[in-house]
Amino acid sequence: MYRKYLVKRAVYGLLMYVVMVFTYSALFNKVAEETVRAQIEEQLAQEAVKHRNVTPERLRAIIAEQRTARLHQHHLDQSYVFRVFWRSVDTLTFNFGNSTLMKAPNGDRSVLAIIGEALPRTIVLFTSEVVIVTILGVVLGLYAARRPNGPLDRSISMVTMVTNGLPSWWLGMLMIMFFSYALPIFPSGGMQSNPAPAGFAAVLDFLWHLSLPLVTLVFLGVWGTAYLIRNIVLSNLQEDYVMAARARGISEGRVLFGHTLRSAMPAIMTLAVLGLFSSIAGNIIVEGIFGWPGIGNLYFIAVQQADVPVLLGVLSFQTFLNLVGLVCLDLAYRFLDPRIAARGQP
Amino acid sequence: MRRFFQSRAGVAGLAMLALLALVGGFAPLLIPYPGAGRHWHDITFWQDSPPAVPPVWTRGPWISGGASASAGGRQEGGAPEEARTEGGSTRLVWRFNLGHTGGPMPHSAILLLPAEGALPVIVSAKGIDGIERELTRRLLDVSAGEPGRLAFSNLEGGELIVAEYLIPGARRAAAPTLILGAQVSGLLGTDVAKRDIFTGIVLGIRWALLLGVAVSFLTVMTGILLAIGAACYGGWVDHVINRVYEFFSLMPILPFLIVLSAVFKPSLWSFAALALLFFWTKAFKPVYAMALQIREEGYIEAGKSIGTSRLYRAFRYVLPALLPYGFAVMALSVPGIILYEAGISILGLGDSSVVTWGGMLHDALVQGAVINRLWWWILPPGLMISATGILFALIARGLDRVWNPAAPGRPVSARPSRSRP
Repeated sequence: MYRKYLVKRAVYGLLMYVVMVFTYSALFNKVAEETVRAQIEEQLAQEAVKHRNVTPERLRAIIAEQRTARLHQHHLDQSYVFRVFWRSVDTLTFNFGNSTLMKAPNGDRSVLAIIGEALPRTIVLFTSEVVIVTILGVVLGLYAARRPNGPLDRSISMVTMVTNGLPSWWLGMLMIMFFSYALPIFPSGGMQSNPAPAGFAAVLDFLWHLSLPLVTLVFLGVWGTAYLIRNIVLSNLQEDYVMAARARGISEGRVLFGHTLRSAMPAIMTLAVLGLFSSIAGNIIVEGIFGWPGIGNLYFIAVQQADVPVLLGVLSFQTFLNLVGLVCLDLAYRFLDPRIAARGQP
Repeated sequence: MRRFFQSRAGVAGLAMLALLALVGGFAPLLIPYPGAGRHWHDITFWQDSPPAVPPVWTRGPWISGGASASAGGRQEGGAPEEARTEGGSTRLVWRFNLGHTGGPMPHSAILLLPAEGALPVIVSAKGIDGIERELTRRLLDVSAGEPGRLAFSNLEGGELIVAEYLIPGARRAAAPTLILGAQVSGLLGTDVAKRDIFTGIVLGIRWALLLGVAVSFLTVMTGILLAIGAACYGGWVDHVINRVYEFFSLMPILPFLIVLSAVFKPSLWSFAALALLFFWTKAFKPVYAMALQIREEGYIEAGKSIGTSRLYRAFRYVLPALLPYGFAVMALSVPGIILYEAGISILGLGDSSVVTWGGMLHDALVQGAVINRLWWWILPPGLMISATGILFALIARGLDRVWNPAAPGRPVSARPSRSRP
């Protein structure tokens, strides 16, 4: 029963991915084709230099022949529907081709190499954010739930309201202004000093660069998480087993951290996992502002320079991750709580 | 309704909204530069203001130095000090005394030359010690009608500004005017392009409110109607709407926006249209779940038994039951939309023909406000965005009291989604 659902859900997610990639391909097909055409012409011009001992007519014929062959190879001689189809197939098989302008530091223009380079950096920044936010959020949320409507609880719900409407990138701009330019404590952006130090100093340097964006993101994220956890815990605190535990004379701290936290764990884990999955895609504007060279920054630059191959690559990668996260979540729900299956759609 | 007014948060939010709407509505009367809305990107409209200076209150009488010297102003040239004819052209020299106040000097100054043709101009400054230093030397090409403009900076205290220029022939030119740029300007200072930030903030209110309220109303209503349609009609309608929902809820809006702005010039309207297409999904799922529940209620069955049509039941029974919740969701989704617009603007895909807070922050980011620590340029737009967010959150809290009287102070259970464009 569960295995059948698993297969069904996975196939369905894959289908959704195909539909979305097809949409991206249709949207960006025109610009992407222009890029490929320009790259073909560039290659042909390089080829032409090699043929030195032939007559101009012969050279023209060779070039024309090669152009036809290359266009055919990239399916550019077919009708629009087929071109979109082949672009989707390329994207689905992670064959993103070469970028228009952007380069990996070693000069590689393959989109896969560029993404592969940026990915670990985003993971470092945002994963550490999610971990810190979850831990701090759990602690704050538990203490807030201990005394509902107490000072901590009230201030958390106030700050949540404020930070919810706060643009994270604006806060980033302010942080950079105050802590990099007004008080030069932290670097204004990037991931490493120039020139980069070696050895253990490099690690310290990296952490130093990491701190400002991390503090900004944690400051913004922690309140909402604390508030959510407070709500989850509060509804758990009304359960009979908590009353029973208190009646047995167990200390309030142990009731909170032992009993309540354990039963709230699935919800918290879901929150963290979902945060983790969406964080791998990065945050475009925050990374752009802090100059953190991850996926979000890649996206930021690709949008501004209209580098469609990179854009398509990042987009489909992001979509893929999102879908995997959603499917996993659905599967986990069904696994943890079989009653959902009986009720129908989760 | 009475319950809404019993909630302090709701009343406070509503009062803030009323104030904001009033200021936004009477913006043309309140701004110190009338017509600035149409001329926001017009360099000539702002040419007489000082660039990138802090607000007036940073140099009030309570701060040493005083406001008098930093106020700026105009000085007419009067008669020339010197007028010599040299080989077919006339050399004219004017002097402007900046006074020996010893206070802070103007940031920059502009010299207006009411002459015509190509004029070689030298502007220098003579200090108290008699030492003269050159400020600028240029060949100014002046066309008829408009006076020539020469801007210069690095002025020091107690100097004499000497303007010297040649005009062809033995004509007498009209006196030049020296416009002293103030060291401070307006309630919120100016940006690098000399624009008054207070004016921009006030002009931005209407777009933020209009866009936020209109888009959130339309998207939530669309979401509710589609959810009711799916729940009440069932069958293939239900199926199709749910598949469309899945597509749009997973699809990021940004690629569409990029392609759209490549074809058309990015505008608020294209953003609103796309937001309508995508954001209805935010209200859909919870409303759908509620509508499914309401569908099974006894009074719906009763309505069915007296032979009412499905459409009648949907609009007469189901919709009214969902509307209060819908209003709370609307209020809660306004900040997200304003934030999203600002995010789009920061990426450079915003509407550049109107003044929006996001657009101002975009300019600030691109033109180095962060590096130059122009805090008066960065703080106000962001504060306005968050203030608008807070006021709608307060209103949502008040509406929640109406919708959910049993749990005071518990806001609508919407996931706190930070918009990530």
